[in-house]
Amino acid sequence: MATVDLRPEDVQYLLSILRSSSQPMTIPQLAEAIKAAAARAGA
Amino acid sequence: MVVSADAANVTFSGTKKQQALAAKVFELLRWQGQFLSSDATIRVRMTSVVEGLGKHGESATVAEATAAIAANKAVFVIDGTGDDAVLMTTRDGRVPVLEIVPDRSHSFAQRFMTPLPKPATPLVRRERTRVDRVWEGLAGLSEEFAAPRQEFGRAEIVRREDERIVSQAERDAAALAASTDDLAVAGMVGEESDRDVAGTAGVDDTDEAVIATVPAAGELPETPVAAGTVTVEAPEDIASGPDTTVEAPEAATAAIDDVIGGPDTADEAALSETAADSVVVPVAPAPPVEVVVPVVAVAPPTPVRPAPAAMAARADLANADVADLAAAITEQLRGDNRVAHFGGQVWSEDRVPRFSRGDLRRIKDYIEEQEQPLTDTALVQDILGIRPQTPDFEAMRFALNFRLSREHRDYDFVGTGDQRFWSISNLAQIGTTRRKPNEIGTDYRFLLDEAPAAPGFRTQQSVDHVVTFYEYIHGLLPMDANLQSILPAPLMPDQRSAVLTFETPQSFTTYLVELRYPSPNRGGFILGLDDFYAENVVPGAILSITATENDGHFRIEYISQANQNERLLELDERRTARYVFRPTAFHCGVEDDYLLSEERFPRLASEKPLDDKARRRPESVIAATFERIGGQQDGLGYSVSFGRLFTAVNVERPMSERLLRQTLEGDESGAFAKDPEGDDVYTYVPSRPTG
Repeated sequence: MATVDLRPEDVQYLLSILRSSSQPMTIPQLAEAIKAAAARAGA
Repeated sequence: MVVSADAANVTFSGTKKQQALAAKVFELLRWQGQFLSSDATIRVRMTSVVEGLGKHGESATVAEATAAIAANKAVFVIDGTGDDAVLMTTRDGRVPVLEIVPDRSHSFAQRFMTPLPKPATPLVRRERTRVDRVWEGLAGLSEEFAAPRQEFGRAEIVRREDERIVSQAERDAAALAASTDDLAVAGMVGEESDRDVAGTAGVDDTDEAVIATVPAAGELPETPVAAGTVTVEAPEDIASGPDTTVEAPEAATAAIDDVIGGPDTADEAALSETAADSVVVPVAPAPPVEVVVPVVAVAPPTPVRPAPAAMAARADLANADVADLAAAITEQLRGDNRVAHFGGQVWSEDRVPRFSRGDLRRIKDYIEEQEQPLTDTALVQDILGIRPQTPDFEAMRFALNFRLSREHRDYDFVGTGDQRFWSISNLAQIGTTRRKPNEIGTDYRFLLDEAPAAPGFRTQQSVDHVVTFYEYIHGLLPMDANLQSILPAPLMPDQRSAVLTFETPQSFTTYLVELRYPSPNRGGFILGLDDFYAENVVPGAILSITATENDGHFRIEYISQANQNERLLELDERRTARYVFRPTAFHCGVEDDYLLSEERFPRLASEKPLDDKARRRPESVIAATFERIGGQQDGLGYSVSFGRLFTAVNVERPMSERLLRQTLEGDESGAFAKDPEGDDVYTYVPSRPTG
């Protein structure tokens, strides 16, 4: 069971990442991307 | 037969002596030009002609020869005088036609050497090609993360600052600027410019755009026109508006000044000089220039991509473990039909390229033609024509896998994570035809009971296995816990089989095999090793199977040994199936207890295989095996060691040591029992006494 709670806006953000990508991504890549975005937004 | 060309039929004139001499000269020149074409010019110096005549016994002076030649002007011609005189004729005996020097004034080389003057291109500004942001991929994405975001989770693509709608007015103004610049600097020699138009940034609304009317290039006046012919119109509401800033674009203003010959007379002089030095452009009298001064809307700088403001408060996301985050994302996107999933990769469904019905049919036909499952890489290259070096190769691979996975009726995924094979329903089965795969799966049903609760896939690098007779004749390997530890797990949730490649380094051969995953009532196994077994090993051989970095590719090896000869058990299927012993030469290492030699099991010879009804029940097979190989005990029963029994039982049907021991010890009828006096020996007493 995942311990991270993803909100609807997080999912929307994930979808926007996938939509703007020109290649398929792996789930770990996606996780790194959203983690980096959250870190930058909080900085 | 020798064929020689006849001499030309030439008639010579002059005196008889001159005729004879001319004939000799002609013969001499023909000999000289024997390899030339009939109308090619033969050139020989007169001095050489006279010398040649002397060598052929015809003494003549230059004067005599010249006289003879002069008497035959239709045949010879002399070019030059004195020692430089050259006699010319052709093999046909005609005066050669003087070569016509071809006109090379318009040759390809000449055109290269003298290029045409630079053409005056029409003064039309070329639109700059702009690449849509969605194609920039991950590189662009990382830039966006670096910028602050105003909103969170905006799905639409936000245009960058330099991406905007260019109005017709801007284009005209730009053309005006470009044209006047060119006029001033290059004297109307056309030159395309990619410069941005100064002073027009941020104009998005065509209502506010400039309408600049300028004469066409060909209509511009040859001399600068007088000032005062320009009318400037600006909407009153714009001009008088309290908050409206009215600015004429500097470039456009300067350009207009250049055209109309404004106060800067130096520019005018420069223009005249430049124009005089270069191409003169006909300029028509200038009509009035009407300029509607644009209102430059000073737009706020558009953020590169709105940063998710809500993320600032998401410390849990920033600090989360990537594995946990990945698990949460997987869980969240699993059922989302906006996301395309395949093999651990995801992409936006609407970004995945689609295939036409024709493409899908060609893929199917190609697999059918090749008569074996094919990998996605092969299909993308051979059918879609995309090379692995191209940037969109991976995207097309994903697209092919994802789209084919949606075509359940026609295509079956039979691959692994690293080796993605696709098959079609009517393809021939890989491996043995002696038994149906379903029947083999039923034979291996006992593996389901012996499987660990949590199956471990690819937990080991290499395993060893001893081939039984049943495995040998069917060319298979059982997917027991041992073998499962190196095999890949199914990639798709409903995947029933996977095509693997087994490479034999000892024979430099690679076999395509099929792994049948276990189902709720059938065990798993690998089919397709018939040829490998027949060519390299015998029942009882010890195999080593090694996993590679590619989860669908394995190495299979046997122990190489010196040649041995034994009479080994075989299944003779020529008429009625029977077990026979035949002399066999083999060079692989074997487990001696598993070797089915005539010396160890002589009574198996000429035995018929059990019928299917008897084969289904392990007890029946064990009982029959006792009778075939066991030693009789006072006519009451049979006694066999466990090792021999295990080897012989696996002739008829697959049975693990665990299943065999369970059956022997858990038999409720009491027919089987462990011999307390023997070393791991079991006895069998049939219900009716043997006899």
